[in-house]
Amino acid sequence: MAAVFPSLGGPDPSVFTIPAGTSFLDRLAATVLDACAMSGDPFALADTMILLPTRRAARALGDAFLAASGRDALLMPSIRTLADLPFEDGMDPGDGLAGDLDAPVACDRLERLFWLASTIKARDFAAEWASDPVAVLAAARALADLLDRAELSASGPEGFDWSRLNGLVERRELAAHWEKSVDFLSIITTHWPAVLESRGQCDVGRAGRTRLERLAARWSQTPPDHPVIIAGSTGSVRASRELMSVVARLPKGAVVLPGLDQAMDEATWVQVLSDEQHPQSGLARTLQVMGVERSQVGVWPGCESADPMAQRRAVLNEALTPKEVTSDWPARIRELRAKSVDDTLQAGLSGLTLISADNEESEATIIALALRSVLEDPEGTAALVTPDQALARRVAAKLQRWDIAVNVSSGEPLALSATGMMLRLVTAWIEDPACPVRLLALLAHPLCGLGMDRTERATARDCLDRLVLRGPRTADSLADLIARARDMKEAGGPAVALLEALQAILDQSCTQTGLSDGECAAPLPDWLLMVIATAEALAADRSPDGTVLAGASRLWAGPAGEAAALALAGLQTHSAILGPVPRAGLERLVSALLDGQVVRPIDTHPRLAILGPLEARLLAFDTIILSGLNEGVWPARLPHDPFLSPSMAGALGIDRPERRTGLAAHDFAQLAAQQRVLLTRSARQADAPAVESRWLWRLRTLAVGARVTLETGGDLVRLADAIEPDRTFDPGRARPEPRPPVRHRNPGRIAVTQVETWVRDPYKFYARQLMRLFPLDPVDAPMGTGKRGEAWHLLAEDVTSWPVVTGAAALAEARVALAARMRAFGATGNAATLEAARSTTALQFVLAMEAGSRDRGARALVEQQVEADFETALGPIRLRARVDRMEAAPDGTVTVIDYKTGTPPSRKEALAFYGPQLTLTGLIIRREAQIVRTVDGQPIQLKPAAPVSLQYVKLGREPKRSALEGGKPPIDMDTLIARTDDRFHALCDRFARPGQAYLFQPLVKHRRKTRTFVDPYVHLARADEWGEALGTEPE
Amino acid sequence: MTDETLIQGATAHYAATVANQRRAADPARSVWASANAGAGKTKVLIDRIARLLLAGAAPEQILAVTYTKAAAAEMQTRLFETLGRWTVASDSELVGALGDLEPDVVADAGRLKVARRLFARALEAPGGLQIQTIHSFCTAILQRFPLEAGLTPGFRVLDEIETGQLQARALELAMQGAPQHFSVLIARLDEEGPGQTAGRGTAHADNRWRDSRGCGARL
Repeated sequence: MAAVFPSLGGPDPSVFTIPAGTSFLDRLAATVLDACAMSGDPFALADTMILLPTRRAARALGDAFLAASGRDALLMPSIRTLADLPFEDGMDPGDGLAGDLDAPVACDRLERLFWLASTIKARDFAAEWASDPVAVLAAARALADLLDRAELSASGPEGFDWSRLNGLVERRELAAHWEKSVDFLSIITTHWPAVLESRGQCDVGRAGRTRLERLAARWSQTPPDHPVIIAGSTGSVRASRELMSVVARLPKGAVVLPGLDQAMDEATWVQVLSDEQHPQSGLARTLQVMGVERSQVGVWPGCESADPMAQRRAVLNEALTPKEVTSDWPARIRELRAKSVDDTLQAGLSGLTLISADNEESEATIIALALRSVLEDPEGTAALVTPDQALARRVAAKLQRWDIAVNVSSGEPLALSATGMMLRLVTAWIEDPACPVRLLALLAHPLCGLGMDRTERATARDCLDRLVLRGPRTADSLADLIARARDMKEAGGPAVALLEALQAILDQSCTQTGLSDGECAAPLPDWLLMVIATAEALAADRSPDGTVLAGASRLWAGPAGEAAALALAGLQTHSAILGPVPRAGLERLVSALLDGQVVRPIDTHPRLAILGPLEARLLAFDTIILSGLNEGVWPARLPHDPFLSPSMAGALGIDRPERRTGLAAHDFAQLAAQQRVLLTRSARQADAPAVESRWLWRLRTLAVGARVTLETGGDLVRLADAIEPDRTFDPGRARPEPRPPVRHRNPGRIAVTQVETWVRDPYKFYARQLMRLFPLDPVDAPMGTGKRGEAWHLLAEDVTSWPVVTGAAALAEARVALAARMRAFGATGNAATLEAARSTTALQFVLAMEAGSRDRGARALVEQQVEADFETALGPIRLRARVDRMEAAPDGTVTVIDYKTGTPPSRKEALAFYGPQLTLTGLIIRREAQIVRTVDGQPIQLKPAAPVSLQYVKLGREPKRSALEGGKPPIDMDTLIARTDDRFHALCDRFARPGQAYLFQPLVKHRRKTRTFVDPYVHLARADEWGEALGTEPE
Repeated sequence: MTDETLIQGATAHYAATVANQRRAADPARSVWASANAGAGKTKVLIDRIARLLLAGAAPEQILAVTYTKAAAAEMQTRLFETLGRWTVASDSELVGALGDLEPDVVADAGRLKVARRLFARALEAPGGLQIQTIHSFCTAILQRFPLEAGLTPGFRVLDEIETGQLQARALELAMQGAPQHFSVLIARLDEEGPGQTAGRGTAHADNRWRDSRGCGARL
């Protein structure tokens, strides 16, 4: 009888299982160690070969052997992973596989990707998307993925047999559009195999599979004379199933399956094979291929005695029972319950906690707390297992708050690492060097040292930011920006130096790579060379003592730098085939290519781990936390196949994607069978309610049916709530009510428009006039409404000096003038043209107004400044007003006109001192004799007693001119002005009271619907947070 | 009105509502249901799906389209809750539940078995239950047939920022290509006044374009 070790005995074929809930690797190591010791051969262990599914498991098995031996050093068995076959390091124990020269050479994955992309581009050049390299690469990736899936399901020395695809559409009477797919797939079914053959290569997927197949063939012919154990593999890949079948029949071979359910009754087991989502379905299929009955499988020696997790296993197996047998669930539950004296269900669920958090943030906090609490026990170990990378990273970040450094074992995305970010920022900058946002983003990156020391760099960056880049974008090139900075005279000095340094770096890279700075398209390797040269030059740093650190050594340092260097080297080698790619969109392309690459972490925490489900296989921890248990996450959403319908894929023999769900279920069942298990999910995900994972649904429903309660981790949830900052919100406290000392309340000299702000929004007045807080212009912002208003004001001023203001020529001229004013304020050519083109009505109105005043013989006075002193309760205040247009009529009447590009205050508001701009202007004119100047500079003295007309002119689509003194009820100007004086003093009196606060827009009914992003002071007052909650404050 | 008549009226209303809900949940009819919030529209949809499932429809072949992700998630959750209750209910409870749904059908042992199995079948519908938003439904179709739709296989849906940037770019290119025509067009729209839909459309595009200029690089 075959036996891997004489002392073990066991079934024939030699297939074992280690039940879920037993520490797989520890048990494996302990039993092998015992058997070797009993053999009496001191080299028995070293001669043994053990094949495992993952590298992490291989590493952990080494530790398990050491632990089981109780020694510090051990002559280890040869521990390998199935994916690493054959053993290229020559450590192969004597079966000569390492030198198998017949083994086909695999093509490079990246080479394949770019070959596919270039072929798609050439083939589908007519399709709109084919000109976008990112889209072409996405299509190439989809094809590569199909190739891989096909090879995983294939067998035999040849590549996957695509010939069955021919005629499939007709044979199966499928819809004709599938022909399109079949035709597109000829890239991988016909052309790619031909290319491989001509190169003497084979597809990368086939290479991995062929190695396993060759090993199987060799071992079945000449069985190795040393023990071989394949352990922990479910046999999800066809080639490894076949190898397992051979090894199970070797004289010294054994296969150890993870967690085969041998307790399940036969009737239920029959259902498993046809139920692809069942956790055992993968193992069932493997046993079938191996030609082994479930009952023939032996329990791995050493597992028989103590089996503390049998009840948990029973509960999990029942919860995940094949869907067809759930028709009798209540009966099955009764049966399960009757099986043992103590309640199997309740006992099986003890140690298992299920937490449904409100959102991802609180799920992460709960997990972090659970991990932390494990560290309280000096020996305790724990792992978070989740396929959700974002959650994993969130938890790692949370743990840092307690200075616990745990790496996410799957690594950090390269594109988000420091080096990856720097490369993307540099690429974006090369794409458009004068783009303000890209420039600032680049300069803010810690790796962008520019060979300057820190202070120098910060000064220059701030100068560039504040003086050159704020407001609408005006520069197309670095040269334009340099010119703009030079205009700032000395103040712009640091910015000029910085921009010149940047220009020099760019020029240098151009020289190095032979690309001109205006190059529109070039092969990707050339672009990458440029990116690398530029990034290295930018990354240079100077320490305060003057030592210059070379950019290359900073950029490529550490794991992220190494990963980036490796990734770029691969891209440079293989991407030329793609042909010239445009400069526009370069950043998107490079980001897409870096996407999916990871930076592997180096150090890990000795007792805590954050793992993906695959990596966690076979590992054991004191506490295990399974997280992200929502539909679409765990199990993952199955991708749509863009080329083949499910039935077509089935006809070709490609594994159905549902099998992945079955494998994921097996992972879940294995992990959840450990002693202390925390299952978590978040009720919301990506800002929308999420649906709980199907496994949790089943588990909870089983618990309901059995009338047992699941532990819901109340303490942990309460603790998580308690350590987060108090988010309960008191609107009363949030509302700003500044009451500065009265002696600081005198604003001094202010414009009448600011008095309007004072009345309407005292808080904004306080922020601007007393605190002197002003917003910076946004970077590369569209031209704001304020600037647009100014452009219109200037146009109206322009018009007054024109000799002719009527007729089509004047209108055309006005259009040109408006566009020119708009451009001067930073509007793009298109925006200026657009504004001018659609402002016909408003332009005509402005011209007509000027013509009208000329007809009346009135002298137009534009942009006049009038001022007057007031003695108030706050002390002396000097009010000033800028009058957009003033008309002095021959009869002495002074007309004051204010242009509004937005909506002017209503007459009612103006009369009620709620829009006091015009009435205050009238007051100023009446109070002191004002001297104004005509267009040609002639001074005119206005008489304080002159009659006054106060008018708003609304520009825009429906221009309108309205006088305050007109309309109903009629109003006497003298009375109005006297009342304005009173109201202004009353305002000052009110704010001279120490208790009076500068409230944010106290009159709710007048509160304009101003959005935060339009008025930064609304944001400053945090009005969105409390505005809804508080009503009107009585005046 | 006395209390009694009030109660009688309410009871009659309630009975009518239940009858209406039942009729609306009959999958053999095509139904347009319109009711106040909380009146039980979602319940009707769930009942309808449950009845389809009871009648033997495969769960993955029922399409329910909603307009928000929240509604899609809620419908799935409520369906799973209903079916989950059935799967572990005692025979008498289940007979009652099925009777409420379809009073005319006899809930024999076979039917109870069918009803109990629906929970796991719905959870494990191949490709998932098709209860989703109109957007994800359409995206899924395009993802399955990209070549037919003239899209790149493996395409990705743009987010709002990217959409704005691309619209801006498109408008800019269009205006650069034919500035004169554009000015004339805009002027014409302007003359026709702000009430014109086309004019509003252009103005809207223009605003979007201005907004998007501020977004800058996608970093």
